[in-house]
Amino acid sequence: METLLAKLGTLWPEIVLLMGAVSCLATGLNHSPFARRLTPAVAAASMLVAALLVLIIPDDTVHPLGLDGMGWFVKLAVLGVGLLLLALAAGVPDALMQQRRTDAAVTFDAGTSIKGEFYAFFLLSATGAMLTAGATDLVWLFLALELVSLPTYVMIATTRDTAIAQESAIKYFFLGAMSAAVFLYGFALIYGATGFTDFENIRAAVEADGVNPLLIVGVMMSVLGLCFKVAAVPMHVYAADVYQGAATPVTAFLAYVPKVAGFVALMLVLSLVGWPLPTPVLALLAVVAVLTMTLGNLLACVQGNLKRVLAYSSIAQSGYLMLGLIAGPALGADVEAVLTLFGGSRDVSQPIGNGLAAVLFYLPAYGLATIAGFGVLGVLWVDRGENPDPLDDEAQTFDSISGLWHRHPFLAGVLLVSMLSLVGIPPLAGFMGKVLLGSSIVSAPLQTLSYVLLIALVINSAISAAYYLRIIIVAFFGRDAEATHVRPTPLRFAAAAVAAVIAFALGGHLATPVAQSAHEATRHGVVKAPPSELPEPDTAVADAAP
Amino acid sequence: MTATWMLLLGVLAPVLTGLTSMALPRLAVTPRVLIALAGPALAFCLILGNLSLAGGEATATHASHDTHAVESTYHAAEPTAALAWLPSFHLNVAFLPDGLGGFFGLLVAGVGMLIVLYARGYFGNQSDAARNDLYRFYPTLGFFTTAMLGLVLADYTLLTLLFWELTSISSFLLIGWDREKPYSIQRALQAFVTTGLGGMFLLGGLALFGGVTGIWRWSELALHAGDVDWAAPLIVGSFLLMLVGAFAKSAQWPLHYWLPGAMAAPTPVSAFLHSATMVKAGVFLVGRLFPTFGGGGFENLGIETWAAVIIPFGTVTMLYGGITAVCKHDLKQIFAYTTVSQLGLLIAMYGLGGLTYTYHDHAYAALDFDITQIANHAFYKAPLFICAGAIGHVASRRLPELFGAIKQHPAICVTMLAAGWALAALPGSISFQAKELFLYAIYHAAESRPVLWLVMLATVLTAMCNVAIFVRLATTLLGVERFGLKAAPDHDHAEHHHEQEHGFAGALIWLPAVPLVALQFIGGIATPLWDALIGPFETNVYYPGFHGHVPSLLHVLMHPSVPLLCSGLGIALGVVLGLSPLLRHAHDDIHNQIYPTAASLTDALGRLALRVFQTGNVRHYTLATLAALLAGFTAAVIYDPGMWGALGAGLGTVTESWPGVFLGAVICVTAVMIPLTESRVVRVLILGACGFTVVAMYVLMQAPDLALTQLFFELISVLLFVLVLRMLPGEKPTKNPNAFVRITASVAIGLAVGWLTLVAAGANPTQRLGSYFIQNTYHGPALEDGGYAHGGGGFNIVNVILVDFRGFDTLGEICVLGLAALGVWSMMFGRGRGLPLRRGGQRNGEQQTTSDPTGKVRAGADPAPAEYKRTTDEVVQERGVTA
Repeated sequence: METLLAKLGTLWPEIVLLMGAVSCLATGLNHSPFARRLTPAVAAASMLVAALLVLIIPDDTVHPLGLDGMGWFVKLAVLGVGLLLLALAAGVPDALMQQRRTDAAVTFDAGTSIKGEFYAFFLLSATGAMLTAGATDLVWLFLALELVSLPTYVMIATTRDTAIAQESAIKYFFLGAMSAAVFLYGFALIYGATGFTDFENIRAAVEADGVNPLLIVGVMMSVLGLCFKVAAVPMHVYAADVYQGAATPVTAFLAYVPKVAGFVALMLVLSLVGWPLPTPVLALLAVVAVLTMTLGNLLACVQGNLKRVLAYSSIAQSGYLMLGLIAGPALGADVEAVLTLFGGSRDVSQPIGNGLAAVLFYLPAYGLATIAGFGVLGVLWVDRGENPDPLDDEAQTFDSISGLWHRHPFLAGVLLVSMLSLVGIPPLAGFMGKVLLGSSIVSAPLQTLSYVLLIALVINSAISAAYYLRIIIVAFFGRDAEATHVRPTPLRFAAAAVAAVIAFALGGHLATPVAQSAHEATRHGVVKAPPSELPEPDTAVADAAP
Repeated sequence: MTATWMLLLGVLAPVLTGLTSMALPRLAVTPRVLIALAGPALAFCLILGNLSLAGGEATATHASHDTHAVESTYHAAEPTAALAWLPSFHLNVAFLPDGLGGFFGLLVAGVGMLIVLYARGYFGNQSDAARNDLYRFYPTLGFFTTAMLGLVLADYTLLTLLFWELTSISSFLLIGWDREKPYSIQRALQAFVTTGLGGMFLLGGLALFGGVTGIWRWSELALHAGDVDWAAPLIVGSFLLMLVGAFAKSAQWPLHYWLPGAMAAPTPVSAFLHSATMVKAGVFLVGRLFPTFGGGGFENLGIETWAAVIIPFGTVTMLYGGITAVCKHDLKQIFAYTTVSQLGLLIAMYGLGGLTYTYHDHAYAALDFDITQIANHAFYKAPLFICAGAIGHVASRRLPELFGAIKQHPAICVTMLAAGWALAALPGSISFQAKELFLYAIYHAAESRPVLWLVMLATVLTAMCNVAIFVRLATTLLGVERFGLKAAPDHDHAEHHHEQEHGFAGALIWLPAVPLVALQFIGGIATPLWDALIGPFETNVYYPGFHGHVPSLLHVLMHPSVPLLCSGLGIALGVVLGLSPLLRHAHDDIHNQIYPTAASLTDALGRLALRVFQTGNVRHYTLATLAALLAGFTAAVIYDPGMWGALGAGLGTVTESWPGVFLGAVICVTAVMIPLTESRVVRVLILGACGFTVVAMYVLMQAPDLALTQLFFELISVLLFVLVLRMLPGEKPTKNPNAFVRITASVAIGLAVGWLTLVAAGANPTQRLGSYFIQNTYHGPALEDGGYAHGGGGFNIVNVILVDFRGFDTLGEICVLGLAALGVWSMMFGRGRGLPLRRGGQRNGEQQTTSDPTGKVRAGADPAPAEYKRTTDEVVQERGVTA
């Protein structure tokens, strides 16, 4: 009982969000239109309170896998970026009714047009992501991950009134359910191999008995299943269809929150076996990473639909992020001696070289840039005249942003920052993230694999420059698109702008504290370094060590 | 600290003044020029005032093998104090205005000033379009100048990289200046992707080097050079990665194609970026690496393969650029290829520096006066571009159309010919001595390495080409009937054209070339003056035969040697080639196809991937997922042969229960039948049969409570399933061509999962979670006094778990059930008077998605009540429409 209460005590932010979700249901489905209009504010308030609670409540729990501050970091990352996502999504459900031209005018009714339950689902999904970060048990982890995904199926289906949205919701649901089955099976195998579901005991069992094949298979299946959440090959196939089908702000949500949850879950699952990873897991992750970034970029190059381009870009970015997972946390003292050429120069208190910190840093960096990009698309709408079009009025094609600079220089600027950050151009957040990822992968004792992965990262970044730049070229140099207009949604506009500004700041002074806390959160991650397991240290490097 | 601030101000000055100039009204052209001019001018002064040069004498005479002495030498150039910016990333603001960086900074700022003036002459003042161009040109140019200054002055490696990428961005904007032309944009993109690729490689190299050694500052690199183990594979790897970055930026073969492509830019851009500054960034980087990575002539420093890697690329680039330049008619193309050629020479120069030769029993690096050689190129190539732009403005840029142009445009043509004289490296210009220095280096290095005579040959051939270009240029411009190129004017010009201005503003179109050309000839004739100007920047001066000074023309001519012979040979051959009818037609560079090919290949691969993976069909997506799972499983089996043993052990227990085997077979058969049947309802029923067999299995295994639960669950799910199916539109008979693939995949995945289950069942960890419950169901563990600790006090372990160990979970489940019941109630009774029912099709779609994969009961329960409310007519109508 005491342990349960102690545990509940650390979950206040999540509890507040849940209460917020219930309140949203209460106001959002209320008979009074006023209460319905209030719903987004209720959602925002509960997120703010939750964020405050995260900041106030001291997090002195000892994480069983050494990722002490990760929960804190991820919760703030979800809530902070989540507020932007909320601002982006505010008004999406309202707009739904107004879009339908023929019968909307007849049946318009404030009572039905503001669908408050959307915000409840939004908060539930965010709660899931936060719970994922705090998970200390496989069962908890599974439930939290499902809590992330289930509301999103509804969010996709109900926020856009086109067949393509319904289709994408169904696709997402089916594949999501299947991936859940896969990683649940993996979790079951981990349980079978170690006899426990809580991380602490699993770690103890692994330390006592070593890594057995069943555990490895379990981890591999979990990783495969989780690939769905982060949209990595081979579970990436849904991404483009679903991103295209969902309403743009919901797409931004899909591109960030489930991905954060997925990467956090991957981090936890991989921590169960510890770094350097066992060879099969390492091979799986390396193949997945390279395939993900390459396929994502190649596919993005040939797209004519911007939402699909950004979907594939998000896939490719997952591939980059995988590198951090492969590299693992800052290596312990004994490994360090092998890697450092002259004593003391590599400061372990610095985030450089810590792959998990790189992942934690890159997630919001990527998220902000993507949100800014989707935000710009969300602000625009295209007047398609009387033509019935499956795309309704969303700005999705290259044509619709053509010449944006001439009419809305501010929006074009936001788009510019977003795209350049995704390419990894300094001094934007994406560049800092790539520095961290790149240096972590080369600091990991992987020998040739480091080079292969690094070069894959480098070449893919160059390929990605081609399509990100194409968006910029169209937006800045293209002919003015007459049919594109700006929605009167200042909140959404502001969300995109703020995301871009933070992406800029995250490449500047904000980078140090964020990277530093990401590093603090993960630097004690599970590293096992029995000399026999380590690859042979380079003789030359070893010689040079004093 | 103050020096850092001053240099930071200097670096930022161009972009700040550029942006300031935007505040002026568009008509105010002259103030705009003056403000834009102030930026580079300020930068020039600030850099000049804060130089931190190494002690020239100490380095010049230094030639020892002693490591400690090496350290003291490199210590000489001090970086400025660091301003903390992003310490966690090893990215702070500090500058290293040493010989190399300081010289480049002054070069960029100086040429930058001239380009500001030239741009005024080039874009003109006549039309609104011209003023608009100027309005937008100066900020962009300022941005580039700032990026370039930062690149060459930065002390932190990542700061260099940051500015490196900014030069890529700004040059993208400048190359794609003509936004209406797809050609320009495409070339700009090509340049950006190529140099961007290089930048990413550089990032990889710097991160690798920094990660391995902890060195993130150029000054630290020099300081700790003796501690680094240069033979370590990781260090060599980082060097190769950085080198790719340098080669991409400095247009080395085979990545040189972007530079001629970048000639789509307006000429001020070409004169600035593609002659003097940006393309030299790669040379600069190699120069930065040279004292440590290149060894600087010291045996215990540097990467062994430095020369072997760099020289071939440099040489091939030099020769290829030279020969291609002869085969061009467009002036900018000619100069672009000679730039490529010269960049190859400069890269090869640093490559040679990695080799040593013995002279009077001392070993020396085969490199002298690198700054002079770099300066030499900038001082003639920028004027050539300036003049090419000028003549393109007033006449044509195609050489054959300029036959006898000197009569109409004497000033421009004379300036161009003077610069061309330097291009040909004829005596009188510093270019002549620079080429001598290079030839000497080859000659020295080749003494013990005969293969380097090939480099000598390539250099002579390149010199020949350069001379030939000058001869063609001279004969054409002067209008020599017999030898000049001649063609009818073609009015399809790709240039900015406007009315020629008169007076000073009009002269600005060629005047900025004059000071640079003058420097060429001052250097060539009054070499001591050049020495006084450039000498302080030189750090690599080794050959004692030069006595620490750039050799004067007299000195060279008075010391007959093999290099002088080769130089003369090159000039003679060049004159012959220039006058001969050989290579007179314009040819295309096959490397221009590299980028389009790569781009279309990427495109084709993308389309292929799109066709194969992104069919939009959930079945295929599922298949992909299962295939990946199978692949992972196969890998696991291959990795761990113990899986076979586990399979065998699992199968060995089969004989214990024959009824179990029978039921298992029934389950398998029903499962296989599902994909084989056509009708939905039949499938659901078979699925139910499968489930009921599982119930039987539970009964067999003596688990009646589980069997009851499962039975109940199966009944409800089958019933609800059939009910829902009834509502769906009629079935379309579909012929399934891929049934075989699907059945194979299903069987394989089923076998794999079954196998895994067997393995898992056989696993025996030392301790299990469940053992706790078994121990504590009735009473707790035994105590010392013979009694037992407090336990659950029950005999049915499931009951005890439900109400005791997991009491809170049960409470939660009850809550969920209650909520679900409330939901059902509200849907069944709240629907009629509340919100209007929407069209059937949409309602259907929405409800499918509210289903919940973990709670099938609810998923089935939700739609049914709502459907009951609909009239039969609606359903019939809908079916009629959709079927």
